[in-house]
Amino acid sequence: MNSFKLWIAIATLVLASSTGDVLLSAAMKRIGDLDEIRATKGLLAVIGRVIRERLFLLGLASLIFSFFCLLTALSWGDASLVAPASASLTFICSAILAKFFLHENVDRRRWISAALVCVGVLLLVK
Amino acid sequence: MPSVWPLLPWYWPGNGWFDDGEDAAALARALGMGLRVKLKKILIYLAIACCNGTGDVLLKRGMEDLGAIHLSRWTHIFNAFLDPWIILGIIFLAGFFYSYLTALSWADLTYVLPATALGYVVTAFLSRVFLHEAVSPWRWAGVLLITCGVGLVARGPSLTEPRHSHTLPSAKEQHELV
Repeated sequence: MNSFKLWIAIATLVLASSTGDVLLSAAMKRIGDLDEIRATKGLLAVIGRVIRERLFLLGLASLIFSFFCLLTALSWGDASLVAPASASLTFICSAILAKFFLHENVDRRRWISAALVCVGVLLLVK
Repeated sequence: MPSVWPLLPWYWPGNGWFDDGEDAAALARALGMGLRVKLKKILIYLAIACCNGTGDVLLKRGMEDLGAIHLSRWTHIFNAFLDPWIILGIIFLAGFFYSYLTALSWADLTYVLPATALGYVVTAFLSRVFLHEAVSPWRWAGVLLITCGVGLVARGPSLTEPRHSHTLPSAKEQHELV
């Protein structure tokens, strides 16, 4: 039962952080190249433009929620299981969400790379 | 005798490698822009990885000064904001977030995400050198796999081309252009 609870927390955490990343990406695509805005209007204009974007705020809220899920999961299970499991699953989940919601061209090169990074992150705790 | 110049495997007027109407200055500009974009990609990847990894290690170093936090004395955690290591760590993580957002503004999410994983590699190196932690062979294997994954995706295109960007303007738009 306890491990079931833990995996639910990890799944929620992974979903929340991938959703946050996808929302941030969508928000930034809508705003346009930050380097150009900074070069023409300055850093303050960049910050103002970013925090007025609703998708960015949604993404940030999602990331904060995922952080609290992480804290909850850490209080229920080992850090050596929770941290790498959630980090590596997030890479795969984000790739799937980016393909379907951002319509990114996730070709074989990117799938292999996501898998390599996922396994690599898992190995980091050994 | 036909000239061999058009056969040369390099940019050369008339060998079909670029439009004949293009002059040398435009070619130089295009090459320069390609180089600038490449440099921008490398710099943003390095900024994301270094700021992420260094920030984490600095936070860890700061929390060592502070000791374990007990729930009964949870207000203790606010002392963290007075520790110079932690302040430096937060500055680095803010830099990470800024470069992450900048990268997302001109590149795909699936292109940028591996760069954040490169931060774990930086963390592994720094915790070996700076915090004197033992790094097991398995962890080095993980570092190697992440590096391969990042290298693979970094060599590919950074942004999915919008599907309709290369279609010709519609009849109405053409009329407006005239």
